[in-house]
Amino acid sequence: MQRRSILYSLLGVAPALAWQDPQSPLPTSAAEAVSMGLPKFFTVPDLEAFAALGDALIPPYDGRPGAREAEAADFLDFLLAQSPTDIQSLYRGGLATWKLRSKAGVPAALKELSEPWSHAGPSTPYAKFLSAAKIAFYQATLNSRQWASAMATRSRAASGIGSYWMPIE
Amino acid sequence: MKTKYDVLIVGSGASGGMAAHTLTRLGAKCVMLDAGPLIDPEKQRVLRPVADLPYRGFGKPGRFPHVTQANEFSANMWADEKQNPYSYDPEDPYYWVRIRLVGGKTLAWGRASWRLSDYEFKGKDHDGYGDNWPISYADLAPFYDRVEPLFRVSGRMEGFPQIPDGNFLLDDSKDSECVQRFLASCRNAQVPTTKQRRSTGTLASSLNLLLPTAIETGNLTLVPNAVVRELSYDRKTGRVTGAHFVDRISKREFHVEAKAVILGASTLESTRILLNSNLANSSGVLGRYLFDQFYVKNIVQAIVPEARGGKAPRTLMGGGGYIPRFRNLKTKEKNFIRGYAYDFGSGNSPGPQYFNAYGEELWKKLADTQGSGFNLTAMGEVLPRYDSVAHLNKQKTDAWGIPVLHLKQKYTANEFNMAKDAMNTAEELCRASGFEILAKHWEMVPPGESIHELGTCRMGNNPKTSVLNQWNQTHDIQNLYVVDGGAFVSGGSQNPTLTILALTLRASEHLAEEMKQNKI
Repeated sequence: MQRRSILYSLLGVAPALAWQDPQSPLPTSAAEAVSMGLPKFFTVPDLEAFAALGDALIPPYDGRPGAREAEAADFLDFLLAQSPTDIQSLYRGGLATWKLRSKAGVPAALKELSEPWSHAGPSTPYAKFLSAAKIAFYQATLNSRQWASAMATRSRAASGIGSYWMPIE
Repeated sequence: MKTKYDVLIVGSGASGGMAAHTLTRLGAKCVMLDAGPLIDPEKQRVLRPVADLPYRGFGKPGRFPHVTQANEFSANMWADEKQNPYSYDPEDPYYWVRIRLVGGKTLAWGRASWRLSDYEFKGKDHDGYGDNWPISYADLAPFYDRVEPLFRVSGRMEGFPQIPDGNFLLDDSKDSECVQRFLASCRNAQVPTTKQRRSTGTLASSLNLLLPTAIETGNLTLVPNAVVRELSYDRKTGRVTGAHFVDRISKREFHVEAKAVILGASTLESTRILLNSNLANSSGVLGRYLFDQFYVKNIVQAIVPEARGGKAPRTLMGGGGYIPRFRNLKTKEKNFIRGYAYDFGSGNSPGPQYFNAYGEELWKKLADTQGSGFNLTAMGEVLPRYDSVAHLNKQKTDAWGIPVLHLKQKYTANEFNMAKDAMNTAEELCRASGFEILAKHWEMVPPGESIHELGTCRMGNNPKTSVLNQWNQTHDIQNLYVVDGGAFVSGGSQNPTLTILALTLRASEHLAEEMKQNKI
């Protein structure tokens, strides 16, 4: 939660983002607004199911942190809360199917990921969701502080340093 | 007292910058308007770890729906799509990618610097399609010769007629072993190859290579944050007299006067200014013949087997090159005219999207193929068509109340057939080199995304079918020139910036001569 608060302050838009969270009432005071935290997309149980999907897709490996260590589900939840509605629908529907299918085991729930790559992408909404989630969890993990810290001794490029354009008036 | 300038230049990128560089040194008092601010790229950018960015490099969702090049590092460089909207038919999306900063898109261009040839300038003579340019390669060659040293273009002399040689910094770098294998396969298939031809230096922009010289002459007044609303016109003389513009920040309205006007605001922005001014369109073709170059990114993603598992010796991987157009030069293809080129490179690491795996298996595959990739991107010629058009959408305005463009362009059978041929050929060349094919496709990015939009204000000898004459001067108004990519009659598969620079140099010297002779 502390990380979320840091991100929230970096964004500097606490009250304005409230409208993007359909499950939260509009704040009536500055104090209420700042107590709301970052915008959320999934409910707490759904977020845990989403994190479990992240575990399956991007687990820790050979000293590399996995999606859970990188707090990728929390970050993607924050991102999804601000995403266009078609992406939100893809993730909401996909997660509902994942919750049902994963009761029969992870391999059964992820069998759509055995489809070979095609430019058009997967054909069903659930397969599209899994494919999108795989890339999102992977990138959110590689772009995390936890990854940079764990990999710093292996590679100079691991910290993902880039040339950032500052805001222009 | 209000100053009246010799020349008003709109835009500060490749074309505007070259116009200022040329005219100020010839003694013309110039004023330059640019819609964006003047920034120092070195101070504007800082090194940051991706993990420190608010969106971990993903960027704010929905900020740039049409700029696939934008990531969270570069997001603040691109023109804001909410302030600068445009429209298109939802069935045929157009990705208009813009930068509104002094220096324009030369702040971010890929620097590929190729000459066009008479396969483009005289394309109709070659295959009967479309129109010839009113100039030939011989007319422009002396200007290419002068532009290349300014931009310190590196390359290798090859003698290929479809990409004429130039004044290069000689690139004699050695090729890696996997590239040598690929080049051998190309030779066997009679497919030409060469090194990239690129402008060199840390920054190869109008901002550092053209504008400083112009400012040093004392003849250039640069006005940043000046959004041009329309040109002013004197009906009695039939001449443009300057431009009405609005300050980007204060939104105050201004007017600047000049004896002549050069538009170099970018292909579509210059045409938009003319359409909003209701000028230079007696032909009715202003805005028509919009085209670009189609891109099929990673048309083939291959693996060099010997590099799997991190076992590549130092000499095996790295580097790349270029395959210029080779179709429809001396032979004739069955189902498409014109041709395409490739960029190719080696040593990349294929991303997780290419592997039908997850979890530990995915990690193993990623580790196994790290640094072993060989990939090609195809760039194909798009046929200019009368029905591909940019027109005003008067129902929609930008942040300064100026009507925006509605863009209509789509690819058709000629481009699709060409892209499929490019995919199959790339696959054959990779297989002949002993590479494994990981993925292939022929689907191009949407029109506009290549950032090579051209046409809409094209040159021609006939004032009834073209907007500009051979000197980039409008047929209708003698003291009005358009020097950006809008002037192109056809574009080949070569990146257009070097040709824009050469055309602008030629047009600017023509304008200076016209002014010297008091014709303007």
